Parts: sequence; structure tokens; C-alpha cells
Amino acid sequence: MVDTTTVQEVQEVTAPSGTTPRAGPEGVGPGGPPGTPPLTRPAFQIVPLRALPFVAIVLIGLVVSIAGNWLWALDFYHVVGGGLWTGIDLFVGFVIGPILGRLSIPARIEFTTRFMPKMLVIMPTLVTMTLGAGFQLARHLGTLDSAYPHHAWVVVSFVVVGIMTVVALGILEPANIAVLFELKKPQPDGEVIGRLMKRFVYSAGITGAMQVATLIIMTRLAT
Amino acid sequence: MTADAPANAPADVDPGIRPAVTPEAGSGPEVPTGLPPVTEIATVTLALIVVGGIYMSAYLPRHSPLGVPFGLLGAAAVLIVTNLVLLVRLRVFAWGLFFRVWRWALLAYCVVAGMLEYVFVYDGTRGKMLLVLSLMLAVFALTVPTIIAFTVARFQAVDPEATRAESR
Repeated sequence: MVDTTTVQEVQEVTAPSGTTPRAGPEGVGPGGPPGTPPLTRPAFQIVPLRALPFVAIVLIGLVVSIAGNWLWALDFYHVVGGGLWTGIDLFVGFVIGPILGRLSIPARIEFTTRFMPKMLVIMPTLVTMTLGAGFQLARHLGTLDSAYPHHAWVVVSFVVVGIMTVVALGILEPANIAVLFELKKPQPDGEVIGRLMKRFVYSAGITGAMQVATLIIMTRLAT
Repeated sequence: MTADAPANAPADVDPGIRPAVTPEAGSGPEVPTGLPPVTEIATVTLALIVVGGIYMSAYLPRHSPLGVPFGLLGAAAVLIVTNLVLLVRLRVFAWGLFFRVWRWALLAYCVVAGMLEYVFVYDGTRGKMLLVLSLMLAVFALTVPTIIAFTVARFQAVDPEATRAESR
């Protein structure tokens, strides 16, 4: 998954010989109209290695906060992680997704190669932060207790998170990684990229809708 | 390509798309078609584990009855074995890339599962409850990398002749 191959600063995406360069069904094809120069895409790493130390710092901080029973730190991790997770999901699903669908093919490829590797690092970190800190916070505050008056809401939040987990890990993240591997090829398959991006945006929309439910539940619990 | 979609769309249908499969057999690398539903089965496996986790969490701080979680775990184990059989029977497949992605994803999800295990132990979970949760985490840590690796590898062109020669 970690690709450290040295690549040229700009890689050419050329249509194969013998085919007419044109956009695929989803418009993310490698080519343009006949006679246009080959598309370019920026060099990228599938997993941005420079970001991993920051991820390690965040996760170590989370472990220390849990071990130290630091309520403020747990609250911070849960609120910041949850807010960013919710915001990014909603923004990607309902703002970025529709815009992405209307971009030109070169713009879409360039955006994807810059955007997806970052998402690959950011989202799992935010999810781990939010859920790990949230579970411990709930344990400390007693909201996990089945005797808690709003326990049903807590269980509903588990269900919502469970659905998001299955969608994110079963559909969204694999599609994200597969798009990046496809873009690494000398001749990316536009049809594959289009299909996977469609899956990514739709599943981001589903998790975005689930996030609205999370907002309702969490504000209900906090009131 | 999905298992049910023809990968070798004719050039006059999708002229801008790189042909995924070379029309003539044995003429070069091709994207395998008719792959088994490994990702779908793995996603159901993941869903069973998540349901088990929710069921057990709903009883906290008391211990939940373990019949349902054990049942879900057993069903998940059956699905893992099913997937393993389906994978072992695959011949024309980008196995190199599959294992490369699987290893790194396994490392990442072992970290996540390890953190969850740490939380459970830290919170005083012991006995059969801890055993069930640990097994669920193991299933989780094995299943997610399988979904990721299979999704990536299924779109890779492989030379069927070379693959067959390697397997002989």
C-alpha cells in the first residue's frame, strides 16, 4: 500500500495506441478529443509518508489520554475528531462530490490524485480518535450504562456508527485505494476510475446522511 | 471491472477507454473477469462483527449473553473460510499486488484492532467476554485488508499464461 517508487514530477496519461482518446462513461477517461495533447497528472504517493508521524502523534496522544483518564483530553479528541469527521463527510458527500462530477477530465484527475491520498490518512485517524475517545468518555460519564435514561439513544448511535463503519471500510476506503492504484498505472483505465469514484462519492453521501443522524443523537444526548 | 460486467468492451462502444481485456486469448496481460464475490462476502463478515459488537455494547456495563455474539462469530468464521476457499481457487489474479496491499493494510488494521483491544483490557473486560471481543477484533483485522486488497487487485491486468505457468 505504501508506494515509495520515485516518479516523475508530472506523469503523462496517454491513450493507448490504436484507440481514439476520449472520455469514458463517467468522464474520467485518460484521453481527450482527438488531436489534443496527452493528459497529465501530478506525481503522488498512495499513502503520503510525510503525514504518518502526525498520525502517530495523534494516536499516541489518544492512548495517553485514555490511560491517564484525562476527561478534558478525551472530550477534546471526541469533539474535535467527531466534528471534523462529520464535517468532512458532509462536505465531500454533498459539496465536493457534485462539483467533482462537473469538472473537466484533466481537472478531475488532478484533483483526485491530490485529494485521495490525503483522505486515506485523515479519515481513519479521525474515526479512531472519535470512537476511541468517545467510548471512554461515555464510560466515564455513565452514558454507556444501560441504566442511563437515554440509553436507547446511545444504542442508536452505536447502530449509526456501525452502518458507517461497514460502508466506510467495505466500500468507501477500498474504492479510494483502488482509484489511487489505477492512477499509478502508465495507462489508467478511465472506466474503472469513473466507476470507483462514483462508488466513493455515493458512499460518502450515505455516510454524510448517517452523520446528520449522529448530530441529532449527540446533541440530544448532550442536552 | 465487476465480476458481472464484461471487461473487454469493444473499442467501438468505449473508444476512449483502454481495453481491459485483450480480445485474443493468450495475446498479453488481461484483467480477470468472473471473479468470485470476495468483497461482498467480506463486507457481510464485517457487518456480522459490527452487529456483534453493538449487541455486546448495548449491555454495558453488564456482560451480555454470549450466545448471539458466539453465533455471529461462528457465521463470520464460516464466511472467512468460504472466502479463503474462493481465493485459493483463483488462478488468474494479481496475487503479487494482492499480498502487497494486504500486508500493509493488515499492519494498519492491527494497529486499530490493537488500540481497541487495549481499551477493552484497560476497562477491565475479562474472561469469555474478552475472548469473544478479541476474536471479533481478529476477524475485523483480517477482513478489512482482504476487502481492500481484493478491490485493488481485481482491476490489475495479469498475463494468464505466465500465471498458469507459475502455478504449475
